[in-house]
Amino acid sequence: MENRIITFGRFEAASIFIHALIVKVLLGLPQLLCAQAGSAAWMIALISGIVFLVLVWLILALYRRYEGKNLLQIAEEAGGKVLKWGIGLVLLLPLLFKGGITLRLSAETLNLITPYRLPTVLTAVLVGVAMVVAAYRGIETVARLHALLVPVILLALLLVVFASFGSIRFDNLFPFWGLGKDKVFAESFGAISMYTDLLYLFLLYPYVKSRHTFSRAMKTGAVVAVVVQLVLVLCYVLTTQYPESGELFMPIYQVSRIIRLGDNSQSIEAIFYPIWILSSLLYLSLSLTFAMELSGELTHTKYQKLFILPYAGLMFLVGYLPESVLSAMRLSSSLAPLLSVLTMLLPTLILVFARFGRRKTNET
Amino acid sequence: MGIFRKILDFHTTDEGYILKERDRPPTSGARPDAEVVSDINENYEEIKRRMSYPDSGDLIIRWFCAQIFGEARDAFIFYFDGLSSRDNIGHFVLGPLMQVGATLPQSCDEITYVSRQLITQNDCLVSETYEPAIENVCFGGCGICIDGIPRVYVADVKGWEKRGVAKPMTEGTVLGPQEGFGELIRMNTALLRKTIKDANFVIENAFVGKKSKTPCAVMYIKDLANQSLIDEVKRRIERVDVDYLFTAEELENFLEDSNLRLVPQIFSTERVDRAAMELSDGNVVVMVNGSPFALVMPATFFTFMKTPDNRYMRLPYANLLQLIRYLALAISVLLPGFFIVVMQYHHEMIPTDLLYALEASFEVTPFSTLIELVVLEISFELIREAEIKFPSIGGPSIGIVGALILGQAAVSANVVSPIIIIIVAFTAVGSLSTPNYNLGITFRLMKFVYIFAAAFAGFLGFTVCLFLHLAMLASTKSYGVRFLSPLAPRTREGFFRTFFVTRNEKRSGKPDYNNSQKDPEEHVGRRARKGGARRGK
Repeated sequence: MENRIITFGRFEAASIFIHALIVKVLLGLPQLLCAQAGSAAWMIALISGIVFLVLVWLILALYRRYEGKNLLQIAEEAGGKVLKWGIGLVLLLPLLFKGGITLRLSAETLNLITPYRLPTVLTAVLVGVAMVVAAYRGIETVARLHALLVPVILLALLLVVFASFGSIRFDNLFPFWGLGKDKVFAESFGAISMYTDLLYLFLLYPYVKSRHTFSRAMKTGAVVAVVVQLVLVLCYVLTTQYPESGELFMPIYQVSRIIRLGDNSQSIEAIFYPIWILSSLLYLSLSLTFAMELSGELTHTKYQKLFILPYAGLMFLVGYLPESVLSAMRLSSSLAPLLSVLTMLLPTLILVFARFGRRKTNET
Repeated sequence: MGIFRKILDFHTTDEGYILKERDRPPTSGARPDAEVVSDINENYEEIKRRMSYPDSGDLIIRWFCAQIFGEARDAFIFYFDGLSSRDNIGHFVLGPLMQVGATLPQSCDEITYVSRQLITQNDCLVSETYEPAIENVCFGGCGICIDGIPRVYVADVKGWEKRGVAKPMTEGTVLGPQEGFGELIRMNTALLRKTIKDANFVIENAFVGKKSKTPCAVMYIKDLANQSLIDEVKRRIERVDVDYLFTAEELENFLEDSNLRLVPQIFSTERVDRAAMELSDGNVVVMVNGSPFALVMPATFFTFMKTPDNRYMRLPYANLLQLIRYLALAISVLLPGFFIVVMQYHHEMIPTDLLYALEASFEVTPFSTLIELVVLEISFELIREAEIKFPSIGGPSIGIVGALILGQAAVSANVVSPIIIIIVAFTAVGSLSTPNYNLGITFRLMKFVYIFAAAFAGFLGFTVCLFLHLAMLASTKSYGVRFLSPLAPRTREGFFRTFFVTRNEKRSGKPDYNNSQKDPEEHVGRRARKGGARRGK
């Protein structure tokens, strides 16, 4: 793995990290935050964002000694092959689970907001085919796609924010503490689970050229993602009043619906559909590609592309196991704490264990 | 029995001709390394056999008496009529050989004497075997055999009819030189040599085709081009396994990373200045005799989108034109698909007044928007293809047919609605504004994929198609360079230089994606200039 041929630069790594972190904002996070804290939803985004940034800086500090190594290699160094396999399987779980749920959510929400007469499963199959093809092209292509499309997605989101300026009502910020001060703080620490895609930080390192590049990419990515999330949540809160803001499906899409361009267009929100679709496709192809790469590394096989179709099938199964999209969302919410532990706490503990374990070994 | 056989074998009538195994021409069976002998009659027979004389009607073999040290010896010359210059043969081959020659110097044998003293043509090959001599004769040389000398001399007296330096047909510019390559490789290399005027500019000869031995030139600037790139180009040329190869376009298929990709991975140009610019960027250029196109490698998407105008025009205009070209490309690929999405699925995007007008125009036409669009797009492709085939004879007629019958009459007959004509016209203009023909063809094909994907699933199909198209482009490589460089992967030049003409480019800064050797003086100069500017402030 140290002599990996495929590498990409800071821009690609940062794009992957930013997009993995903000995709849930597009799919429904602001609505969840509003349901939890009312008009103070932006405060949850701010506090949890700050906690997340502290965590990122801490992890990067712990990572300093393991240049070019992903979590599997660190786990192998710290606890041998057993720990490597254990960690590998544990990391595969969130990748496939979140991928499956996102596949279902994307298909359902896209069908909901668009006037197509396609069955939801067919939408999911179309999205799935694109995901499989991108994964088959490999991690390098997926990274290049992120580098190309993430700036476009961010630009579109920025346009939504700017275009909705006319509908902003600062009254929506009040009451300032929303559903209560205690609730805001309690939910803020719970909302850290929205950053479970921190997982990619532990997997990206071997593909990035140097420690300096990696560190800068992750820090830039984390800051941009937190700022974008905060701005979007704030924009949603400012344009949608509280009880309604906790109920709307695909909140940023709802913001785009209020944009008016005078007599030039009746309704412009349809122009943002491709952004939603591209965002889902990028996230899904990233999940599948990393699941494939992880499995390839675990099994030491160069035929890792053989994992693509079974994993894609597994993601479909996970996505379509719940009866409805609401059950899928409920399942996702109920498993969020577990996923946070698996993707944030466990890797951090492995890093700490590996660092101090190695120090002890060095001392003896 | 004969009648029964005829009834049963009804398909093999007497008139029908069947190519039987024994009808195939016999192979010459000649050893490629067979050596030339002293006996001129034996040489004559061997050359006759190898060059299919007298079946080859244009092969001329002329016997004469050569004066070697004052002794008359039998000799003959052989050349292809029309391929070699008769005047040159008369003046520089036959004339000196038939006259009484000078005395033999002490240090010189008769083999050297003939080439140094008697054949006065400036380039002369002395061959011990038949094969190279015959290859040269096939490429315009004149072979000479003299009794008692076990060698074949070949004087380079090429003199076939050729097209001169003409204006480029496919890459027109308003400003800058208007020189295009021709079909003759030496003329082309000379044009480049006189443009570049650098001693480090190297033109390596190569031959492709086991039988045709087509001359090629691998060109690069020694202190700029990446050595591994040069080696790879030469390796791929050596690896070409084909009997006959005639043009650069054929060679392009062999040199590309993958033939199955939709996009071309080698850039071809017929402009001398463009080829010189690419060479000065550290790229490698290959030319093939018989083709007016130079192959440039590696090539990225942005190589295809640039034109020499970028360097000739003033910066603001160059940037405006660059933006228009990208817009044209986007329109040529995406506009019809986007139109289908809006018309079939997203009426809400159209202002109400316009929507009424559009619906009214569609009301009277019998077909769906998809059918109308596809039929008209195919019609336009037909017109374009016909115009390429007969540009001067049929061009005006085809234009009239296209404009009047397909446009005016189709609308009057309520077969298609006017808005479809507008969309197809926009797409066509966008497609014609795409700077490179090969890239244009790719995107013309993709346009239909987008149309059908959009009709099938609206923005979902359209976007999935776009995603897959981008994935395909992002995974394509040209000689180890990613097709979307320097945008994805991002190189130091970054986003700005990719899309805009910068002052850097005005002074031919080299792209960094092909790791060309940078000129140290250039960096020093740039730094000094920057510093100087600051000091000046």
